[in-house]
Order: sequence, then C-alpha cells, then structure tokens
Amino acid sequence: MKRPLIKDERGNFKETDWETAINLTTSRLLEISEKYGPDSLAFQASAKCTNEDNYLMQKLARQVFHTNNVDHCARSCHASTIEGLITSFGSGAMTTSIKDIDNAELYFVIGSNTTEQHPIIGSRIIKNKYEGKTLIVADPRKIKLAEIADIYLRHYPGTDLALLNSMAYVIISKDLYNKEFVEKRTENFEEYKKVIENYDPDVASRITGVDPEYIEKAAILYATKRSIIFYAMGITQHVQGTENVQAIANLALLTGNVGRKGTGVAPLRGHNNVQGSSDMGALCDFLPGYRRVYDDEGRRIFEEAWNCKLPSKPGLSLTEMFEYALEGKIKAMYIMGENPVLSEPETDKIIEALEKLEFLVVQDIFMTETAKFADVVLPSYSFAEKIGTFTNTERRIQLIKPFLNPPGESKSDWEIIQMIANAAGYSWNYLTSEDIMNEISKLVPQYSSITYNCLEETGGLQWPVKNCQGTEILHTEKFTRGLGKFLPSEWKRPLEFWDSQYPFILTTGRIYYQFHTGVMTRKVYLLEREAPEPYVEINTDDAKVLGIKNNEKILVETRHGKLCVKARITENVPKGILFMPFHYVEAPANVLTNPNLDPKAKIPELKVTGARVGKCQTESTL
Amino acid sequence: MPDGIYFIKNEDFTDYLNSLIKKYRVYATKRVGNDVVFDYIESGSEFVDERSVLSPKNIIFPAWKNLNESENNQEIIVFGIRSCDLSGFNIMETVLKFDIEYNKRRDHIHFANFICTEPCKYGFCTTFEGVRLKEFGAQFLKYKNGYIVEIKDNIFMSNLFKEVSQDMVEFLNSYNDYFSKLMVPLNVKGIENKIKWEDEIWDELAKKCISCGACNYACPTCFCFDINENSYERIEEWDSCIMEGFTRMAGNINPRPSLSSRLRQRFMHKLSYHYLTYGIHLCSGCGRCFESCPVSIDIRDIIRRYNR
Repeated sequence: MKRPLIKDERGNFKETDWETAINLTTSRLLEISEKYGPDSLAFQASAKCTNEDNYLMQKLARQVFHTNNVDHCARSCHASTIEGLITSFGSGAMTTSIKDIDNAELYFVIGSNTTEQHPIIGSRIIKNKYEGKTLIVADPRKIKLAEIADIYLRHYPGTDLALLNSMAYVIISKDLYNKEFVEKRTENFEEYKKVIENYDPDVASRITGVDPEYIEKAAILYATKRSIIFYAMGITQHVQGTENVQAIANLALLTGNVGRKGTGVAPLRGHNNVQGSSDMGALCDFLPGYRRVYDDEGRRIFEEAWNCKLPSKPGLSLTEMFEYALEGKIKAMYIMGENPVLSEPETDKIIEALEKLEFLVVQDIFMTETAKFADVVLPSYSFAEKIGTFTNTERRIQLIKPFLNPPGESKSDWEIIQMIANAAGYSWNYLTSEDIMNEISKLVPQYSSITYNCLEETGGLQWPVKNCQGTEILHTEKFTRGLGKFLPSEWKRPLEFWDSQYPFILTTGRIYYQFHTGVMTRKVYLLEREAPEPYVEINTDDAKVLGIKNNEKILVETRHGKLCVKARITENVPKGILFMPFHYVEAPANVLTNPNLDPKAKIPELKVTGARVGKCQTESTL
Repeated sequence: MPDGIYFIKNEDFTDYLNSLIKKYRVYATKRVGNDVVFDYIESGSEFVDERSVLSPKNIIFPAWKNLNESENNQEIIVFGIRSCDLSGFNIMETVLKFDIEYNKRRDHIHFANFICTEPCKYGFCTTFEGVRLKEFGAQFLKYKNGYIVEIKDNIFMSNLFKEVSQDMVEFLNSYNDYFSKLMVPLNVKGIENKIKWEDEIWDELAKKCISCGACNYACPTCFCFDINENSYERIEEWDSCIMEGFTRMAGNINPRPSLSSRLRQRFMHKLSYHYLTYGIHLCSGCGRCFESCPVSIDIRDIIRRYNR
C-alpha cells in the first residue's frame, strides 16, 4: 500500500492524501466519542510495531481519547504470563537469558513447540541435549523435541495444571524441595502444600493420562538439577492460563530454580516485540511499566507527565472489544498492525463485529483481511523501513534501523498516531522516535536512562536497565515483588472436554514456515511452498475407525463453527485429539475455537475445544 | 623468474587498491561493526584481509533475481575472497556453466583471492584443493612485508608490482604442503563409493536438524535454485534441498518425503554423486555449513564415519 485509502459509499477504496485521511479519522473518532462516550472507542496496538509506536498508541487512547480500551495480541498469547508471573515474582517476563541456556543442566519444555516456533532457542536446547544435558518434554503432540527427550510426558490438552501440581507433590513428598530457598525467599508455602496434597501421581495420572512413574521421574530430575522451564501458548491459552503459569512459577520457587545462573522460568514470546508492547502498557489494565490502571499512585505519574486526567477503570481486552462491538457498545475501532479476522477466536463473530462498527480505521503494511472492512486504511512502514526499538523474549531492548526505502507515501506508525493527536488538538511534538524513547526512559522504570546511543554501542540491553547496564538474570537477590509467592490452584476440567457429542479435542498452533496470520510469510514464495495449505492432523487409529484417507477433505465441527479441511494422518497427535494450524484464511482454524476466557487474564482458551469430525459435503472434495 | 608472479609491498597496497577502484567497481571485505562483510568499497583503506562472515556467493549467483530484468554487466572485482570460497565457486561452475545468464555475468566478475596464513576454526580445505588455488584472477599470499601475487587475469596488473625472489617462489610452491601440516587433511579417497545409503546416521541427523536450510545458503558450492512466477515477475531464487517442498511434485508425491532422506541426499550429493558425474567433490572444505548450523551438524563427522 502506497497511499491512504478511504472507502466510498459504494464500498470501494479510493486513494487519498494524508491530510484528508487523518482529518476524517480524527473527526469521526471525536464525533463518536462525544456521542457515545469515550469507552465506545477501542484501540489495538501491535506486537509487530516498535516500543515507540506502541507507547504512542496507548497514549493516544488514554490521553487524547480518555479510554483504557487499548489492547493488543499479547492478550491472546501471554496475558496469563504477565498476570501469573507478576503475582508470583513481581515481573512478567523471562527470568533468565538465552545465553544462560548453556549453563543449565536440565530443560523442561511444556506447551511449546520450541524448534518450530523459537528455533534459536530450540536449536540451543538440541545442541545442549547432545552435549549430555537432560531434556523433559510435556506436550500432547509428539513435537520434534519429544523425539530426543529423556522423558516425554504426553498429557491430555488442558491438564497441565494437574501435571505440574503432581510434580510438586512428588518433590514435596520425597523431600527434594529447596528448604532454604522456600524459607528465605518465598511466602505462602503452607497454603500451597495443602492444595498439592491432592495431586498424588496416581490421581494425576487419571486426569492427565501420563504414567505416574513418568511424573515421578520427571519431578525428581527437575528438582535435583539446575533447570529452566520453557513454556508458550500450550500453557497460557487456557481458561486456567494464569493458574498454569503460577503453577510453573511455584515449581521454580519450590526447587530454587530461579534467580541463579542456569535456572529460570522462560515464557517464550511469539512476536518480535510482544514483550515490548506489553512493557509499553498497550494493555487495557496496565499503564507503561506494568502499573495497574486502578493504582492511584501509578496513574498519578502519568497524569503529571501527560498533564491530563486518566481513566481508572480497566478497559476492554482484545476479545471483549469484539464482543462489545457485537453488542453495539463499541462504535469505532482503530487497529494498528493486527489481523484479528484471522487471529481471534470465532472468526464469524469478529467479522460481524467489524461490520457493525460505525467507523473502523486500520493501519498496516498490506491490505489485510481485516483492512478490507475498514473505512480508512493508513499505510505504514514495515520493520525494514523504520527506526525504533524492539524488546525480545529475553527482555533485550534492541535498536532497529531501516535498510529498505519505504513504498510511496507510507509513514512510521508513530508519525501517523502523532498526526491524529495533533489533529485532535494535542500539541505532541516528537521529531524522531528517539524523542519518544526519551520520554519512555523517564516514565518506565525498566527502561530508565536508555538512549539510542547506548543501545547501539552495546548491541541491545536486557531490562531493567540502569546507567546503560542491562540485567541478565532477574530476581537474583530478591524478587521484584520482594518474596516469591506460592499461588496454588486446583485443576478444573476445561469447559469443553471430550464428551459424547464432541468426541475429539481440537487444539491449534503454528507451523515452522508460516508466521501468525501469514500477512507477511504467505507472500514469500519459498515459505508458502513449504506450507501451502491448511490441514488438520488426526491420529492413524482415529482415521481408520472413521474411514478417513490421507489428504481427504473432512468436516471439522465444534460448538462455535465448522469447516472443511484436508486431513493429515499422523502419529504426531494421540487418539482423540485434532491439531490445526491457524495461519490460513482458506480454513481459518479460529472459526472453530473456544472463546471462553481466563477470568483473570482474559485470554481465550484456544488450545482446548470440543470437536467432531464428519464427511465434507461441499462439491470439491479433492 | 616465472611469469605472472610478483610481489607487492604493504606500503603500496592501498594505492594499488585505489588504482583498481578508479577503474572498476570493487566488492571487497570490509569491517561493519564487529563483522567482516563483502560490500562495494570507495577507498582502498576500507579493505581488511580477513575471512568474511558469508561467502560472496550473492555476487556471482544472486540469491533473488527477477529474470525479466536485464542485468547490468559492468566489470566487478571481488577482492579478498578466501581460497575456500573461490574454490567452491569454481566447483559450482561445473554445473552453472550450462546457464547462459550465469556465463554472461561470470565474464564480468574478476576474483582476487587471499590465501590463509593460519587454519580457521571450521575449515578443512586441505582435504580438497587446499589454500593455494589453480583457478583465480589474482591470488595473494602474505609474505614478510607484503604479498606474493599470482596473476592470471591482466585486469589486476599494476606497475606497483615488484619482481619476486627465488625464496618467494619456493615459499609459494611449497605452501600447500606446509599448510597441510597445520591443517591435517581428512581422508576422502574413495568416499564416493563408501558412503552408505542405508545407514542409521541419516535418522540420527534428522532428529537434530531443524531444516532451516542455513547450510545450503552458506555453502559456496550449493547451486540449486527455484523459479517462481507471479503476475508481474519471474523470480529465480536460491533453494534448499533440506526443505520438503524441494522435490514435492503435483499430487503431493514426494520422492524424498522424510527429513532423513533429504539430509542423506545433501551429503550424498556433496561427497558422491557430483564426484561420480563431474570428477570433483561438491565441497571445498570451507566449513561454512556447520559454522552456520544451529545444531552443529558437521560434514567432517560424515567423512570420518566412512573413512577413518
């Protein structure tokens, strides 16, 4: 896209100049805000954009439009990590560093297909494994790491909490826990012990489907070695996502496997900047630097800095924004660099919600599936065309520089946002993205004193940063919140599980060659060649019973939707489980998925949806 | 004194390069940040005599090219390439020479390679051609206060060159033998017939390999490309035999469906097939494949497995 686009009465996009597009956007947003109140607007930031872009996006929502309705895709991947780790440790990020992987003796990978989704970290684990380190993998799917693992725990989807609690049971009952650490550095241990008592491996085995002996072995190994736990969406995308994350933190606290070299809890982030965009407060319940919006003290800092009154009520999360739009309570949306039509659960409802809006503005590098529904489309720079900072999975803030010339009249995301703020009568005057970072470094303690110069010289720094010095390992002396807190929870049966009507569990995920909704990767010939079409993985035995042939199109149906997709018969998934990648617009897996939310983190349960399989009735059954 | 061998003093070196830059575009090793990379240089002082992070394969065989656009074939000097990389390109040419476009491009590219003075961490070039090559435009070897220069391509001639002494010629002639003592060659004799099709090693490697294709892209002898089209361009780009789609045909039929079969193909091609067809191994011993491999799959281990 080279110029801003405006949709005419007939629904066709017409090119226009920036002034017209910005004025239209601003006046419509203001109008709607005036008519229906500020909370009728919703803003979506993006984990693909820089820290500076995201910071301004949430500032636009909060300062200019007086609403906390600003959120982004971290909601659908690691909101439970932020919530879970902040309550346990005080800081919602990877506690260790990528380099530190080499110092560990054991890797416990749960709910992460590391080699496909985080190949840099995955290959580091493989390398270390071949040098004699221990590897434990827990995943319903037989992922690549499972093949070389010392112990492979194949638990049912949605039973992670029972598995983790049971490992804790073994560690406590065998007296393998780190008493000194528990005593000096943690609190709430007694409460924890009480809950854990219910998770004898025999009991857990009935819930998880894992041999009790394996649970025991894994627990003993984990407790007796310097260990790092890696996890990703397999842990977070559940109704009990926050509890899952806390259970992982509990295990680390119990064994003292945190805050030292070669130990830690490592949530693996998906987007290049999902850590940074969360740090920047592009979340409906957090201000920059993870100050809660309802925390008066935190709000005051920003009210003083921005010279305005800030709303104290948490805004709507990503998924809720669409619900509210459906109900007619959200009237306008401003979406930057996201493609919710493909990435959010229940696609049909998302589309309905977008159509119902009075005004939609989408800011992206390409004409996405979402942008097609917009009234105004604003073309922005890709990562290759702009300057700014990204914060990666190990909290490393890195400077990026342009190496391509931007197409046509497109602009930096932050510039566009500033134009809107200016048009709305606010005198923002950032001349460069560094000006924005200077403001961030004053207001966000983790980013204190950061300058582009010092990022350039050091090649990137891990937050918290002080005087141009990063922090490799968090929580070494004390936890960010003081003491580490044991937060026990009971396992609950997922809201949708195997039943007579829906005898399969559908779980979704990503594949090596495609990235998220494929906005970028599906345009790359070789990547698209490697993974050109959607499919659903089904176990060999299930396929035999149902008479399904490999590559045959089958109907996958859930309570939320149905679609036809090619079957891929494999041993990678166990009996009773279906797996589907969500990248494809031709068969968007999220038509099917479960929109039930984790009540704390508001993350949808994308990993466990009751499903059934049937014959595809459409004419093309190729 | 023998023809085509000269000496250049260190103090004349920058002037020499500047004289080349005046007349031609010079693509040379220079330092950017902490890395040594190939790029066009404006001044002779930018040049560093060190091994680059990647080989300059892109200049002779572009990673991505629109076939509808004609190439601007001006004379280009590639200065500072290591012997192993150039040796790799020479091997690659056994196949690419059948491509007319390649030949047109190749005619305008002139290579000046530098002989290493000490073994590098990954290389095992002495196993194959060694550090002093037979095919080059100009070849430089560090000697006392300058370089011994061998010239085959007159584009590199200069009046700054001095005559060589007998000592220098002897040093040059014995250099490959000398270097083989520093870097002991692996035994590849007969490997083309010893490497086994049925072997558990292929499955073992497949467990490790994450099929990223870095080995292919880093390799100075890998010449496979793919051509794809869309409505407005026809693109030739590097391909990777590690990828599943490399041999996939219509109807999802794939003669190499598993990662282990693809890894086997890669090593078979390197160590056997190419030798049986063209009489030369498809490997120069540069070590770039396992240097870039995220899980350290090492071609030397494969060679040692069949030839102890």
